[in-house]
Amino acid sequence: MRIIFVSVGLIGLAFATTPASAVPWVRGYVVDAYEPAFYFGGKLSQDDLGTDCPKGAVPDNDYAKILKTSWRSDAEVKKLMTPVEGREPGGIMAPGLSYRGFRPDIETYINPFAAPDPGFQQVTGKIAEGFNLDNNPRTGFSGTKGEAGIDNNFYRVMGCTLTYRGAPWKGYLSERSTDKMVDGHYTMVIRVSGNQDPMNDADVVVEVGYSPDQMVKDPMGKVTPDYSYRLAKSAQFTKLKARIRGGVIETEQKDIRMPEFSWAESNRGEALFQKGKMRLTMNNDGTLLGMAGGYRDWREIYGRDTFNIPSGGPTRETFYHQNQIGMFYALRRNADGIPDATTGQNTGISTAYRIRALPAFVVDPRQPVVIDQQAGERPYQERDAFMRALTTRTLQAPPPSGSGGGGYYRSTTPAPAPVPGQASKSTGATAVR
Amino acid sequence: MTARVHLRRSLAAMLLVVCVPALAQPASPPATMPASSHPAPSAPGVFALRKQGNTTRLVVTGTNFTGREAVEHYLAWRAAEHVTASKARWFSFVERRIAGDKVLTPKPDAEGQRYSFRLEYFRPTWRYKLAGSPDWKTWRPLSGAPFFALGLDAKTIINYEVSADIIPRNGMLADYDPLAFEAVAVSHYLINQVTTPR
Repeated sequence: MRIIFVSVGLIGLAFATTPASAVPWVRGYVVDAYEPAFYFGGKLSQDDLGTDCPKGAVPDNDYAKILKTSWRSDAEVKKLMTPVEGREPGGIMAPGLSYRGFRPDIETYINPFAAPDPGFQQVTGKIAEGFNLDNNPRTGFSGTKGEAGIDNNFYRVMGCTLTYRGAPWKGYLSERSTDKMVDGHYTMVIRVSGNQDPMNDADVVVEVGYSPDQMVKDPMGKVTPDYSYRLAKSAQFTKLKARIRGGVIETEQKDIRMPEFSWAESNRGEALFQKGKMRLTMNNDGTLLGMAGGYRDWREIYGRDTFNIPSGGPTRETFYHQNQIGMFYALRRNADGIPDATTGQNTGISTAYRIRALPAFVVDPRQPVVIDQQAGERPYQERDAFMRALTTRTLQAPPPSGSGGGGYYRSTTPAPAPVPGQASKSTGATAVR
Repeated sequence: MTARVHLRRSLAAMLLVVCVPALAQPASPPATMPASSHPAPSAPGVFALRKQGNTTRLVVTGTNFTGREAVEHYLAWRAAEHVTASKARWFSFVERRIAGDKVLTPKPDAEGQRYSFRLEYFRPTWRYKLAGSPDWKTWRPLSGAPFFALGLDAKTIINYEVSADIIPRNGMLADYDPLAFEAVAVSHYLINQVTTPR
């Protein structure tokens, strides 16, 4: 018996004194699901009453109320709300929804501060997913495992909306966005490399970024693992130091640039997570699951949500039950980081996004990769006008009709329906085994 | 239009900078601030404030009555600008209630919608003189009485003083409280609407 103990001890000592394996290793992943990390306190349906939102998901807007202004008569409101056969409600009401400020000539998606705050139903629960971004355990939510100081005010603002509320990967817009992503809207890849044991390594590099290569899917529409994807490094790209304990990757805290959670051609691009962090778990089945978080510019979040085609402001307010004016005010008052050097007002709102990824080969391109980014179209002009309005505190006119996007907000033509899975960019599949 | 408005606001801001220090430091501040206490009468359109403890009383005066909302919005805007200039983030509106008030105190609702401001709860007190009358009259919105009762005509106002007490605050806005006002939001909402009372 004693011999056995000694033998076991010697073997153990041998393992303990042998330096960790110093073989370089690399693991690549392609992201097949990406969404805001919003803790769901209900059971199944997004309409469930839950600890996150005791009243359930935000109900449809009271259009008679939000269309009413000091200068618009009840008869005009009624006319805007009268259904027209063959036309979507968002299209019928768009002219009214776009103009509800203190004067009839003010476009209030661009100048939302010209309308009073209509209020916003926020998360009142105490639990959230995310990170302690300010390293202050006294601010923020409790984590799902009881951690203190989880900062996710984007969730606080938007977590009860029909847009996002639901079980993981089941939120209305999350499903739409992920569908579009795997259909070729954009591709995000992650590469993890180290020099020790892949499950326990103190010197790890995490690279996250955009790939120009469309995901390869099987006949059932699921992303196929183990294909190769080029990693663009000119934008939407970040390299972070990290360490792994028990298969859990924890990165350093620094600004992270990576692809934006997007559902429309005109709101994809780069997302900047200031003071960002990533936590990713390498699962036994080869998949990767975790989160990226950081402070996002709340004005950019409002702009990309409100100014995009085909599901801009009027669509957000009808199909998704959001109130963009209320959202504007809520994002601004819940901004909790990155104070402006001049005004002292916070420009950043804490966020966290879930990421699920499959094994893939992430390779450096032989030639510089061009990132397919659009510019100069109407949603971009509208975002610019919104930023001018906000920073100068002066009212801005909308871009002239015909400046791209078909003058949607003034249009009386039927609104384009938000069709899930609508064709977007076509980079062509270039993945190779 | 924009340049003229900017010029007017710049002049108003300069006036504030010049006037406020003098008005903000009375020689012997009163121990309390009853609802009828105001800074010394000032010229029409001049905005004044006085601090008592953590409370700031704001007063706007005029001789040319243009409308209740116009004057009250101007006062709310000046309150927001004052709070911002004080490096505070938001303010509480202090309701000075007396026996017999019929308007109920708005209750905070932690489960309800959240707001940056609700101007319907910014309810300042009015003092005014009507043409042909030597007396100042007071109207308190919390009393529940209509703004102009007994057949009086607001257009006959020849002098008015409108006052509000606020407490500037920092930290996260109490967005469930109807009496909480985020300064930047109030200021931004009103800046393109208000004109200096005359």
